[in-house]
Amino acid sequence: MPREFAAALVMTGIIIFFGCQLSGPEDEQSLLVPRFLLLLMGIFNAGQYLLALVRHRQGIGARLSLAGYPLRRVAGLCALTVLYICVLEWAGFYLSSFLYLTVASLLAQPMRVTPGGALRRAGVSFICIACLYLLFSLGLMVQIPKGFMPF
Amino acid sequence: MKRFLSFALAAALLLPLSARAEPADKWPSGPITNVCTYSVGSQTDVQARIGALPAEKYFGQPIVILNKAGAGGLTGWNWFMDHAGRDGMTMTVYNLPNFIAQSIVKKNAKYDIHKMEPLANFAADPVVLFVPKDSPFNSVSDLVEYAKANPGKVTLNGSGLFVGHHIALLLLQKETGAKLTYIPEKGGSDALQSILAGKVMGGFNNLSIAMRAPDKLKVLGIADLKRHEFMPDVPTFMEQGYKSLDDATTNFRGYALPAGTDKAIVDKAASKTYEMFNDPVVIENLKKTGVPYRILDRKAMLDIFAKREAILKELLKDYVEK
Amino acid sequence: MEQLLDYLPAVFTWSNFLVLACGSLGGLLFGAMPGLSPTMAVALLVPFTFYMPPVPSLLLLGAVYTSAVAGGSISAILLSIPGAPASIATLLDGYPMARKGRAQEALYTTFVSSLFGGVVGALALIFLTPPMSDFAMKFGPSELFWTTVFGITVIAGLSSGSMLKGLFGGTLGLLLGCIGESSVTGEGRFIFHEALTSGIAIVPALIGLFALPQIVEMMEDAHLIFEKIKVRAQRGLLARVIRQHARYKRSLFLGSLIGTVIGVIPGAGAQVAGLMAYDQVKKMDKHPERFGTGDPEGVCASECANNATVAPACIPLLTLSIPGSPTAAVLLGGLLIQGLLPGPELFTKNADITYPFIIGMFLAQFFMFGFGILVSRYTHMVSDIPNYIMFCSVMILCVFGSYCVQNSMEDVYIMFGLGALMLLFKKLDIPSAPIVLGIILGPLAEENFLRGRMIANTDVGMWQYFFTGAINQVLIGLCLLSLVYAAYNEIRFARRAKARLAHTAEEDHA
Repeated sequence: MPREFAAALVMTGIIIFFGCQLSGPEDEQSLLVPRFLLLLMGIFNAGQYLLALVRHRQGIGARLSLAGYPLRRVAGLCALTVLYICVLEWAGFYLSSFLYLTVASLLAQPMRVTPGGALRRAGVSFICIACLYLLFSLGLMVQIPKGFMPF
Repeated sequence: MKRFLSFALAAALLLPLSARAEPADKWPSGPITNVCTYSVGSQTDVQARIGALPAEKYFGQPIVILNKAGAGGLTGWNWFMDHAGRDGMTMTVYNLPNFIAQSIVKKNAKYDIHKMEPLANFAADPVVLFVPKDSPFNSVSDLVEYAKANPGKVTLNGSGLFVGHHIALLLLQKETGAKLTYIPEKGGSDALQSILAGKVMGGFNNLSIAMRAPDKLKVLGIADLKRHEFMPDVPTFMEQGYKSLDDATTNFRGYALPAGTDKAIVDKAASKTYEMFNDPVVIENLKKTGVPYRILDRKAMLDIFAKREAILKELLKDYVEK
Repeated sequence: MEQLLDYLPAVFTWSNFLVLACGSLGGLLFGAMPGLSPTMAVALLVPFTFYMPPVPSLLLLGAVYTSAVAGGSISAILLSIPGAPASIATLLDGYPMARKGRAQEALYTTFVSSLFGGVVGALALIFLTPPMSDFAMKFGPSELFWTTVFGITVIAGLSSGSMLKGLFGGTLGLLLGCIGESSVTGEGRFIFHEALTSGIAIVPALIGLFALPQIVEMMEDAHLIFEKIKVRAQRGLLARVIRQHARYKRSLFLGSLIGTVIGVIPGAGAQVAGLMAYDQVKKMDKHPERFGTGDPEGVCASECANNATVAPACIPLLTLSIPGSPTAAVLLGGLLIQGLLPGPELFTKNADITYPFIIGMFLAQFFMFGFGILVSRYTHMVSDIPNYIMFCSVMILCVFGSYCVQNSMEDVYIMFGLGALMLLFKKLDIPSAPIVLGIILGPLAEENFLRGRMIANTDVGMWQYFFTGAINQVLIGLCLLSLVYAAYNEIRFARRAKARLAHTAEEDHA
């Protein structure tokens, strides 16, 4: 799909998404500026469709495609990251960060994973997370969620 | 043998009773978290920190302030209602009349006076009405007369919606029948800036804010029962004839526990907090930061909560969100 | 002024210097970490200063503020992740420079320009406090509205080449800024989830919009092992960079001016002064296309401006207790916690605290410079870290950074959500800088507009309120000029692109 056209479609989607949320506030002042902004966005969107059309006619313009994109690797790492975010509050920041740092870097590395290398990586992760702990929880006394861990 | 058995039976019966008394005995078992619903460095935050200075002396544990600012306190208090355990380890700082007004007006407020157990009060910041030094108004009646002659033209600001300042304006409007325009600002500093820049005609704000620029402002009245020691020349609204502006709008601040906490813990916390606020370190620091302090205990606060809610429910019934 | 010299000896004590040194180095490193911002650094330190005596605590906060703002450019240049909104413009030219192997030059440029801008700002704090605070007080809702509109016109300039998408992004940012309860009407707009009641916080948004796409890019390249480029410390590089600054007179001048003025005006968005300066310098240049490709002058303009906002933001703070920037607002807390009430008393009764603080702000610039240059020599070590470790480390820092701003888990989710959106946008070539600009300036513009409207309706009417008055008209003029320049540049750019296209088409045919 041509990129400019895809951009225009996404813009329309966003405008519709926000446009549907406009009911609720009773004071007309609350909606003055959002309505104006949505109007502007509509104008730019229309312009974008025109641009997509012009590019199409001219025969130039990039196309969106996934050719040559390391989709599996990126999708896998992203899934791991989403998992990390989900367990953050439950397992506590420090434990989940330690696991994420170790596992994600081992998964992503181009070299083969060896038990010795994995252990060394875990060690380095532990030191990094320990530094964060010293800085945030002890040093700055920020209340980082600990989940079910005692620290 | 029989005596031994009856003794054992009595001990067995008494044991659960003593076990029930344990929660209050062991409390607090660790540092206490205090949720401050305003940002670091704000008035409520600074005062809450001052109040917690001698915590180790009275509680044996420190009180750690956690800031959860947003939406004038709504975000923090909602979070507090949802996430605070009922074991007495999490407190919050209440801010009258803000949280009561919000509980009446806002449909998504999860708190009200029955969901918060006040422990003790440290500050009572009365609302004052001030105008720039070069303003043509010299008294509240000047302003009211002008407003009656020019309805809607008088612009007065305050640091938010449904805070003490806004309520003071509503009370004044109701009593005099004059139509005033309220301009809500983002905070005390912003409100002060607008007045000094001459962008609005005057404003309601806390006494402590008025103390920041005394040579540039003219304070027309103070909404309290009697004149304040920080500004002895300023007459009260009641003196000037506006009887409904008593201390209903005064900004009271203190600590509270969530409802549902064990009564023994609440009572123990209340008495200890009251003692802590009376500590000379706290009082000295409150004086240093120019805060009008008033140390009150739990009973006094429960009374004040109920009275305020009654007044505010009546005043704000037209503003309730559907 | 004489009083100032009286207090000079008081500042020159070993303990104060130690505080300044620790604050500068700590602030620099803190700001350099992606995800951790200056406002956060100062906010996290204020509770500690509660237990410290007044002069060291204020010196510490001032030093951390100055250095964190400069430090934010380190991660902007090396990782393309701005440490603070102020560093966004730095990355536009700094990151391309790093890619070309000129990272150290970019870093040196940052610190030299920051020193210049910071010193100008500190001098304004020392000499011009009374007139500047009077000037700042003349800014009411209508003047602030036009100032933020002027900032918004920068959006158009930031996206030359994909103007429509940039404008859309900027408007989307403004709309995102409207999420939450309006402080004027108290009603909620677009509150899909309870967490959004107080709107989208700037730091999580910044992190999400800039860092997450970078992290994914690192994931994409994780399988590559780069040759470790032997970077020898280039002798004489520092001297060369300093000499080059003589050519950047216009950037230094505009940067300092814009930074100082925007910094002193409360509620004018001091965080975006860097972007505004960058935009103005670019517009006034004969060859605007060179900005964005790795030209040191871009870095110079941006960094000069954003360090010039630091000291002036304290001017209205000290005189009227009205902070000139969000970070200065946190500094206000630091003052209040010490029992220091801003106002004339600060300069009379508490002069023994205030004047050392002002002098300290001036000295802090030099500490920042010294440590900055020192740290720059070792930053190549960061570039050597392989991608497969980098991406998860940065992710973790982003999580911590988003959480620590408001102690809120929801901010982490917002950061993540915006990041995901930005991934899509990047594929569609919609730029991120305008969106962040919109989120920062949107609420300011809307509030001032609505408040101005409320006041105008009781008084002289909207037209007269917003369009008359000397400052209003000057600002409106600047906005119009800005828009005209942007349109002109865009047409020029399009014409040149077309000519190039026709030229290569000719070459192909020939």
